[in-house]
Order: sequence, then structure tokens, then C-alpha cells
Amino acid sequence: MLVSMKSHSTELQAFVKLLLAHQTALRAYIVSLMPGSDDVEDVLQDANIIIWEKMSNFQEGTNFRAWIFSIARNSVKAQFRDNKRFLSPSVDAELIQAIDEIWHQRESRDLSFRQRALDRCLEELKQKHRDLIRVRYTKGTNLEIYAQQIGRPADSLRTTLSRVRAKLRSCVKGRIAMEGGAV
Amino acid sequence: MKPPLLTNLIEQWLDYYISESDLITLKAELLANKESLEHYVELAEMHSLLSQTQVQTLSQTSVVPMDRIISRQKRKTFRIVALATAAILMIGLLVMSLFSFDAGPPLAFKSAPGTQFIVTHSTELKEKPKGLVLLKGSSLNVTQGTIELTFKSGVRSVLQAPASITLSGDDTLYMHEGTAWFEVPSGAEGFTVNTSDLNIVDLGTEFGVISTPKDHDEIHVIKGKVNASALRHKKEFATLSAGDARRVDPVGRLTAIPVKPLSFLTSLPSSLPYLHWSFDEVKNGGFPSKGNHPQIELGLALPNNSRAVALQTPGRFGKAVCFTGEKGEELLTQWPGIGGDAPRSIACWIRVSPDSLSSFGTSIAAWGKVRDNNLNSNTKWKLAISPDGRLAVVGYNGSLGGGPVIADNQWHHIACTHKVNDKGSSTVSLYVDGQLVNNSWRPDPALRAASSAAMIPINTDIRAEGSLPLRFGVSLIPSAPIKGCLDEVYIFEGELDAETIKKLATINKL
Repeated sequence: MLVSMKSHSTELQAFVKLLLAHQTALRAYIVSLMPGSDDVEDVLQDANIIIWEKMSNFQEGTNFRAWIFSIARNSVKAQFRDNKRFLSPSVDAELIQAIDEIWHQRESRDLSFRQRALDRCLEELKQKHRDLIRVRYTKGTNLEIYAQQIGRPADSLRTTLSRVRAKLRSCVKGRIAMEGGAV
Repeated sequence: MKPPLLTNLIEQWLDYYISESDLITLKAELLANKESLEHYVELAEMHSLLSQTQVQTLSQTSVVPMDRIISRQKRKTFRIVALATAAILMIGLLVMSLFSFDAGPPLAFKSAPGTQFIVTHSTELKEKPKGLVLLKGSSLNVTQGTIELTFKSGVRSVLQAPASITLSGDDTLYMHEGTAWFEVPSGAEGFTVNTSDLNIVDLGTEFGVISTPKDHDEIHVIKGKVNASALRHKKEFATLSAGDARRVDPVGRLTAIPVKPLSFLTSLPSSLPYLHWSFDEVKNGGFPSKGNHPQIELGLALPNNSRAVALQTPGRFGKAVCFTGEKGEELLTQWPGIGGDAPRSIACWIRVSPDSLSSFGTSIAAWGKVRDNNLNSNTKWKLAISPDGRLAVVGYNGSLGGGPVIADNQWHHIACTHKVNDKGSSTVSLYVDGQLVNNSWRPDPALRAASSAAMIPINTDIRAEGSLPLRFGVSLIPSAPIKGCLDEVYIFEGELDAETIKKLATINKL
């Protein structure tokens, strides 16, 4: 496989670089179209494979982000149609369009900068709050079971989680402002 | 819908425990209100980043063998690809790019906007390398701005001017001068930084080094551990852990100092490092500074003996600060300013009445050290209005001034840039209302009688005993403040170009 690719290696590498640079935004876009779903990773994989297959359709100089977002949007819609594993209340077409418009109006932000700020802000949290974030955002873990384990009501943990997230948002904003990035 | 309720419902949806009725309410709100929808996208993005952070943390164990052979930056990429696509095609490509990376230079770099640097390669090289890379023996001299270095081993560094480094080996850097932050990934332990005073060997960590020719070098450990050895007489050695910092003294001891992680930039800023005072808000009794400068927390401008709110009036953009000439109104910060002959720029709006002019000049902003004999000399730097009402900058064994009269009770945008040219002499540009104006040198009063008086290079002293940090509205000698207003002050570590100054003068943005 490597040998057959070498003739196009420069173009391919440029394409891969571009796609990788947009992975974080692509994932966030999919999350916004399927809130509360466990299938985000699957849809992201599907979208990436289609993007890869359709690579030759992409025209240099056109809006790469818009192109991969449109592919991702179709992958989300396909997932809605299949609806085999998607358990979250679905987002209807009108709302998808509205969300889409917001994404298109947003400047293409460097999310790696934001991710890095978030990593730092997570480090600043108390251990128990970091644990709470880990439990909430790690696949296979569950807030209710964790609440039982530590002997606290799940509702109380949700309230704490909300506060921790607010703190993280504020911290990320502060760090980005301090380091000169777009908030 | 009120923000707390909106955030609550969005989070319930993202966490998948929203009730049907609440979901109907939320969807209606999102469709009806664009701001609510923007907030939703913002929260979804944060939710995604948090999920990604946890996924990446978990995935580290599954790519351990790769961790050992590829750089940290490449590892990150690998993880994302491995998780996001599971497409063998892409992994194949990544492996290809890793091969090419291995054959590449030991150090590549990129710069922030406004950065000025010179690269010198070893004369032993048969062919000059292309692109922004350093090979063994190459040197990088940064006169202003910020550089990000990426070593082949995955070590990442952010270097702030003024700085001068030489790549001694693949993972050894000699730092003649500069402020640098280093992040050393696992697998790259042993990374070494040498300065004229210190030898620093990393044990897997994040640390910062401050090396200044006229002061003693410092090491600040932010994470992990480093071995630090003084190179002078006593050659003290210490293994330092996170939260430790040392300054080497003249006899080679390592003196404990407070660790200052905020002194270091950890990523490239979008402009030259700067501080900005808008005077729009009062916090902690003073006017906070914003911007991307690592010492931003030192910029809080506190009235010497007055209430900050009482000084606020409507300004050119938002609020301004106005002094009535009463002692105590002057604003003092803890920011030491820019030292030596380092390039710098200052820009602001002023409205000064003619009766504010004094025979000693009217100080807008100043820092540095006043010589005992009270000569202007070259150890302080001050933006001022000359006795005849024109813009001037002081600190050159005299002052440089010119342009139209600006003490006319009208708002004017003023700016001054300074740098030292190739021949070692100062180049100063003055701007009034976005336009470059001619300037001429006028010696200090004590020198005026001497026929041989000449301008000497500046050497603003910000470290010596008696050096004073930045202040607004007053000179460095105790006196009453000006009668006038000040708004949107920007100070940059570097020389701004005319276009940026024009932008500040028109839209107050970079």
C-alpha cells in the first residue's frame, strides 16, 4: 500500500493533514447534531471513511470545512434514519439547518488551542472534580453508579458537574484571552 | 429564556436526561433565539472537547509502542487518527509521514506575527537547509516576538524575545539569552538546556528558563523534575520538582525563588506580546490590563491615593481615565516595563489641556530608573508631551519629539515605536492620529551647554534597585499627575508597523 501511494504522497499527506486539522471541529459539529448520543464516534468514523473515499471530489481552494461538514451532516441523517442504536431524542431537520447556519457563521477557530487550554484547566481542578469529569465523559462509566459508590445522590453530582463545567468554561475563556487567541 | 435555565436544559440534553416537555421548550427556544443557539453550539463544542480529552487519556495505553518511536506531536496525531477513523489507509499515510519526519531536521520552528529573527547556519554545512529549521551548530537570534520550537524528539518550546539560542546537539540547546518554556514528553528525557550560568537536564517535565546577560539565570519547574547545576564556582546541584524555582547567584549557589509559571508563554500568541489598558472596568481597586503578555497580572493600574471609579469618564472607546492634576490620582502598576534597548511600542489616546503643560514636560507613561543627578540619561523611558505641547519620548540622553501641537483639549491618538538598528543606534518613530511625524533629538538640559552632546543608546534599567515599574499620568519623580485623559493604552514588546498603528488609531483593534 505504501508503495502505491508514494507517487501521490505529497498530495495525500496534504489532504490527511487538512483532515486531521479539522478532526476536533468535525467531532464537535457531530456532537451538536446528535446531543446525548453514544454514537458520535461511529458517525465520525463513517464520515471520515466517506471523506476519504470522496477525496478526489474535493477541489482545492474551496471551503474544506464546509465540504466535510456536509458529509458529516449526511452521516448523522443516515444514523437518524437507521436509528438502530441512536437513543437520544432526535434533532429535527429545521433545527439541524439552524445549527448548521451557526457553524457556518462561526469563524474557523483553532480548536487545538482551545483543547490545550481545557487540558490546563482540567489540571487545575480538584481531584474529586476531575474524577467527576472522567466519570461523565468516559465511555462505559456511569454517573448513577458512581454516585452510589461514593454515597452521594446522583442529582447532587449533576449539580456539581454543572458547576465544574461552568468553571472550566470560564477558565478556558480566561486562558485563551490571556494567550491572545480568539475567545 | 434566562441564561441559567438555558444552560441547564442544554446540559440536560447533552447529558441525555432531559424530559420530553423540557426538550420541546428547549427546541422552541433554540429555533426562536439565535443567541441561545450559539450558546448551545458553544456548550456542545465544550462537551465534545471534554469527551475527546477522556478518550485520548484512555487511549494512551493502546499506543504505547508507538509512543516510544515517534514524537509527541505525531503521537497526538496518531491517536486522533486511530480513534477517529480506524481507516488503515490513513494510518499507512501517517506511517509514511513519520518516516519522512525521522529523516528531517532536529529542530523546526515557526513564529508569531510581528516576530523578527535571524538564523545563522554552521559554515561546515555543505548546503544551506531550506525552511524554518535549525541543524546542529545553527543559531537563532530573535529580536522581537515569539518563536515555537519543535524538536525531532517531541520536545516543544516557546521562546520569547530578546533571545538567542544555538542548537548544540539533537537534544541540547545553548541559550545565550531569552525566556523559554519547554515541554518534554516521555521518551525524550535527558533533553538539556545550557546557559552561561546553568546546566539543566530534564527528567520528563515542563519547565521554564530565564536567561538575561545582565542578570542571573533562573529555572522554574512547572511539572515533573529536572536536574539543575550551577556552572560558577560552588557548582551547586539540585533535583528540582514541580513548584520549585532557583536563581543562580554569582558564586554558583542555587537560591530558592518563587516559581512563576505565568512568566512563560506556552503557545504562540496571535501578535507581539502586549498589554492593554482599556480603563473600561475597575477590578480589585484598579484598572486591569489585558492582552497576551505573560506578566499581565502585574499590569493592574492602581490609583496612588484615589478611587479608581472616580477617575473614569466617557472616553474615546468606552471609558477613559481622567486626571485633574491632584496628587494621588496617578496610576501605578507592578509591571517592570521593557528593559535594555529591547524594541518596544506604545500607543494610546490622550486629551490634554494646554494648561497641563509644564517646563519639565507632561508625562503620559513612564518606567525605569532615574539617575541620582536627575538627568534624563538613558535608564528610564517615558512617553510625554514636550513643554511646547508636542509628542516626545524621553530616555535617550535627551528626548525625541515633533509633530503637531496635541495639547489642545481634543482627543489625539499617539504612538511611539523604538528599535535598535544594525549599527547599534536607536530608531524612533512617532505617530500622531495614525500619521508618522518627523522627530528630532533634544539633549537633556544639563547637556545643552556642551557642544559635544550626542544621543547615546538607550539602556532602560528595570532591574536595578530603585527602578520603578510602569506608571501612568506622572513622571518617575514624585509629582502631581497631568491634567488630562488617557484611553486604550497598548504597550508591545516589539516594534509595530505603521499599518497596525493606523488600525489602533481607527478601530482600536489589532
